[in-house]
Amino acid sequence: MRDSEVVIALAGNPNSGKTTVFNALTGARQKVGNWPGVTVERKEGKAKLGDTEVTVVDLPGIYSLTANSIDERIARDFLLKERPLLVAVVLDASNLERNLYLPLQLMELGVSRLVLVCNMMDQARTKGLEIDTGGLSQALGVPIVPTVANKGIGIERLKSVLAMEIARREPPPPCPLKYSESVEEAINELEEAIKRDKAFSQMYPTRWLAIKLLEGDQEYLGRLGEGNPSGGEILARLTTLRDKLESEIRYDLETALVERRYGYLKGLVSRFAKRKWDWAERLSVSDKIDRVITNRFLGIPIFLVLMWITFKLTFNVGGPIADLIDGVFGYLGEHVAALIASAHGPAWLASLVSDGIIGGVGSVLVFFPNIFILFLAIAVLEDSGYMARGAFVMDRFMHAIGLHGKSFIPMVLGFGCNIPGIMATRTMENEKDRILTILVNPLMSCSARLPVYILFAGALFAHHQGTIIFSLYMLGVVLAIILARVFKSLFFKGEPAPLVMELPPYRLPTWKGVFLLAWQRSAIFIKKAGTIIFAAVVLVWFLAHLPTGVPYASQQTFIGRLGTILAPIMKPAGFGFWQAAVALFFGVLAKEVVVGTLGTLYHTQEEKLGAVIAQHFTPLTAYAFMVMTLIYIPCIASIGIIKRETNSWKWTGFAVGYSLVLGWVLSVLVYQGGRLLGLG
Amino acid sequence: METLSHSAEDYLEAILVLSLEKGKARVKEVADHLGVKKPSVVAAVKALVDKGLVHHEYYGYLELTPKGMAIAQAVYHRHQTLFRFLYRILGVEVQTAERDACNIEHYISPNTLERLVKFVEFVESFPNKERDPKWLSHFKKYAETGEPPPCVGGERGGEKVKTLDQLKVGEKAVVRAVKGDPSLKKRILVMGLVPGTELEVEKVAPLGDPVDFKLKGFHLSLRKEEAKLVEVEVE
Repeated sequence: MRDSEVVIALAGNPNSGKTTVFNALTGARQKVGNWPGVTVERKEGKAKLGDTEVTVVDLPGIYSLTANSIDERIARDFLLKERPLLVAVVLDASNLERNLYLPLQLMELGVSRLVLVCNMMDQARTKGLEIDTGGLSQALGVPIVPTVANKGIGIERLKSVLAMEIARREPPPPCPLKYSESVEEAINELEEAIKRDKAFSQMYPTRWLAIKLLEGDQEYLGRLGEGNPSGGEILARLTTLRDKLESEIRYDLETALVERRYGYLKGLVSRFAKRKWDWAERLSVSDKIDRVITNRFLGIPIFLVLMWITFKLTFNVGGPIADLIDGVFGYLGEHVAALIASAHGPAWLASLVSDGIIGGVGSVLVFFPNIFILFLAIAVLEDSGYMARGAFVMDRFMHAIGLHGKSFIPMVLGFGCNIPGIMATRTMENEKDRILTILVNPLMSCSARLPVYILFAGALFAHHQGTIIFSLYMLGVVLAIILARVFKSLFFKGEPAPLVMELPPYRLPTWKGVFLLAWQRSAIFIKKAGTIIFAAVVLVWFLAHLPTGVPYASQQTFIGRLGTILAPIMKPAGFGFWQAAVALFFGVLAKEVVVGTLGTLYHTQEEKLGAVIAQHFTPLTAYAFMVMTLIYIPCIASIGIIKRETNSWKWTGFAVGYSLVLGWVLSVLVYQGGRLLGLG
Repeated sequence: METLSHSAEDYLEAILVLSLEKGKARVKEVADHLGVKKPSVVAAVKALVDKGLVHHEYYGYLELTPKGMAIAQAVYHRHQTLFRFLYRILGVEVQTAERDACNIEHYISPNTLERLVKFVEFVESFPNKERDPKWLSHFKKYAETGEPPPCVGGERGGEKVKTLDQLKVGEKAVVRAVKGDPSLKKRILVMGLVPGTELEVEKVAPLGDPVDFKLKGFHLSLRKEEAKLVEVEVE
C-alpha cells in the first residue's frame, strides 16, 4: 500500500470545529466536489504527516451512526463501508458528553482505529472546565490530542499522533463500554446465531450487528430480511431475547442501550472533566446574546434585518462588480469581433465568438460576484451560529406553509436572484424540504424580471406603476406558498421532517474559514453550472442566426420561425404575435433579455420602446405578459442550477414544465378574466 | 479469614465494642454485655487465646491481636450494616433491629451481605442526610398506613409527569421516556435526551414554536410536535 493511499476520515458532531481542524491539517491543498449521486459537499485534502502524505476526507457532521439526512448517511456509509484505517473524531471540549457519543459508537463498531481531537480547549477553559485528556485517553483506550484548531495549537502534535497511529497498523482496541450482565448475555447469544449466517455476519463485526439488532435498528433489520435463509432464525432468537430483556428492564431496549452509553459517558466526563467553578449559575455569553437575538419581539425583526443586509450586500456590492464584468465582456466581445472583421473573417464567426462564446461565458460569469458575496454572507451566518437561530425563529411560519425554517433564507434570496437562492438550500438537511424549496424558488420574482415590469408598467400603467409591480411580487409569493402546499401533498406526502436541531454556541467566524467556504461553494457554480448554461447560450445563438443569410433574430431565423409557431399558443393570453413569443423565448436566457429582444424586434432604441409597446399592448395584455414573464420558466442559469442541486433531470423537467403551464394558464386567466370584466 | 463459631465471633465483637466504648474489656464486662455467665466467657476466651486472636493480660484485661481485630471489625461492620438496614431503612424499632441484626449476621451469605452493604451505602449517599429520599419516605408511609405510593396514578408526590411541550420557559424537568416512531425516537435519544437527563426550557421562538431546551450543557430545539414525544418529570 502506498502511503498516499492512506485515508484518514475526519468525523465529528456539527459545530465541533471539524472543518477548522481539516483546514489546519491540509492547508489549502483541498479538493471540493460532491459525493456521488448527491449534492453534499465532499471535501478531501492532502496532509503531510512527517514523511508520509495521507488523504484526509472531511465527512459531514454527524451525531451518531444512525443517519437521518443525506449528509449523515454519507458520513455513516463512509465510516461503515469504506472503513478508513484511521478516523480522527473532532470533539467540542465544552460539550464532551454528547460529542463522545459518536466515537463511542465507532469503538463499538470496531473497524477503524480512532484518534480523538479535543478541540476548542480554550473555550472549555474559559467556561471553567479542566479536562484531563490523559486520563480520558487511558479510560477509553484511544489517543486524545487537545487542540485549539483556529489558533493552530496542538496541530503538530495531532499530526505526529496520526502518523504514529497509522504506523501501528493494528486492529482497533476493544470498546471499554459493557452493558449489564443480562444484556451482554443476550448480545453473546445473538452473536452466536449471527455467526451461523455467513452472508449477514460478513457485513460488520458480529457484536455490532447484535447490538444494532437488539436496538431495533430498522436498517439492520431490513438487511436481515433480504434473502437470508437463516434470517428467520436470527429474528426468532432476537424476538425472544428482546421480550426477555424488556420484561427485566424498565425501558424498551432501544432506550436502555442508548441510556447505558450516555450513562457511561456521563461517568467518564464527571471523572475527567472537572468544573473549577460552576458557570451554569452565570449565563454564558452565548445565552446572553440569544436573549436578544431570539427574543420574542426582536427575534423576527433582527432576522429580517440580517436578511436585508445579506440581500443588500449580495446585490449592491455584487451588482457593480457584475456590471464591471459585463462591461469587460462587452468590450472584449466588440474588440474580438472587430479583430475578426479586420482579419477578413466571416461575419458569422465574429458573431459566434463575440455574441455566442464571449457573451455566453460572460452571461455565466456575471453572476459570480453576487454568488461569491452571497456565499460569504451565508458562511458568516453559518460559522457564527446564527443560521440555526434563523431557522429557529422562522420555523413556525415556514412550517405552516409546508416548508422548513431553513427554507426562508433561500426564498428571500430568490428576490435578488434565484441562482443563489437555490444554492442556499444547501444548508437544509432534509432532501424533501430541499427539493420543494428549490421547486418553488423561481416564483420569487428575481431582480432580472424588474426591467420587464418597469418597461410594461411604465408604458401602460403610468400612474399605478408601483402598485402594479408590487402586485406581481405578491403574486409570486402567494403562488410559491400555494404551490409549496400542493407539491408537498402531491410528492412529499407523509410526516413533515421533524425539527431536532442544535443551537450551537455563537462563535466569531475566522476570515480564512469564511473565505475558503465561500470560494469553494461559488467555484462549484462556475465549474458545473457553467457548462450547462454555456452550452445553452451557444445553442440559442445558433437558433437566432441560422439559416445563413437572414438578419439576426428576424422572423426568418429558426428562432423567429419558432416564435411564429408559438405565437398562436399565446393568443388566448392576448399577445399572440411572434415578437412576444420570441422575446419570451430569449427571456429564457435571462429574463431581462426580454426587453432587449423586444427592442431588436421592433427595431427601436430602449428609450423609445415604451411608446412602441403602448401601441402593441393594451393594459390587460401587458399585465398578462408580465404575469407570463414572472412565472413561465426559470432562466437558463436557474435551470442549470436546479439540475445541479436536485441532481435529477426529472425534477428539473418538472420545474420547467409546471412553470410553463402555470404561466400560460394564469396569463390566459388574467386576459380572459379581464375581458369578461370589461377591462379589455 | 478462618471460620469461627458464631459465639466466637460474638465474643470478638463484644471485646471490640467494649474497648471502643470503655477503652478496655474485662471478662466480667463481656459476660454482662452478652448476658452469659463468667465461666462461659473464660472458656471462650481461652479458645480465642489459643487461636491467637486475643491477648489475656494477667490482671483480667482482654485485648485483640491484629488478626483478632480484623475479624472483630468485619463482624462489627456487618452487624452495624444490618442494624442500619433494619432500623433506618425498614424502620424496625431499635431493640428488635439490634436483636435481629445479631441473629441474621451469622446466617447471611457473604454475597447477600455485600449487596446489602452496597444498598445501605447507596441510600445513605443521598446528599440530604437529614431527610429520607422521597421513595423511602413513601415506603415508610406505606409500611405504616398501607397508603400506596403516589406515583402509581401517574402523579408523584411533588413530581408531575408531563410531556416536554407542556413546560414553561425556565421550568426544569427530568426525562422519563421518549415515545414516537422508531427513527424519530432514536434521533431524539441519541441527542442525549435519555431517561434521567435533566433539562431546562430555555426559550420559545417568537411565533410560539419551536422550543429551545438546555441539557448536558448544550441547546437543542424541538418543535412542539416532537417535544410531545418526550415524557418528563417536573419537581
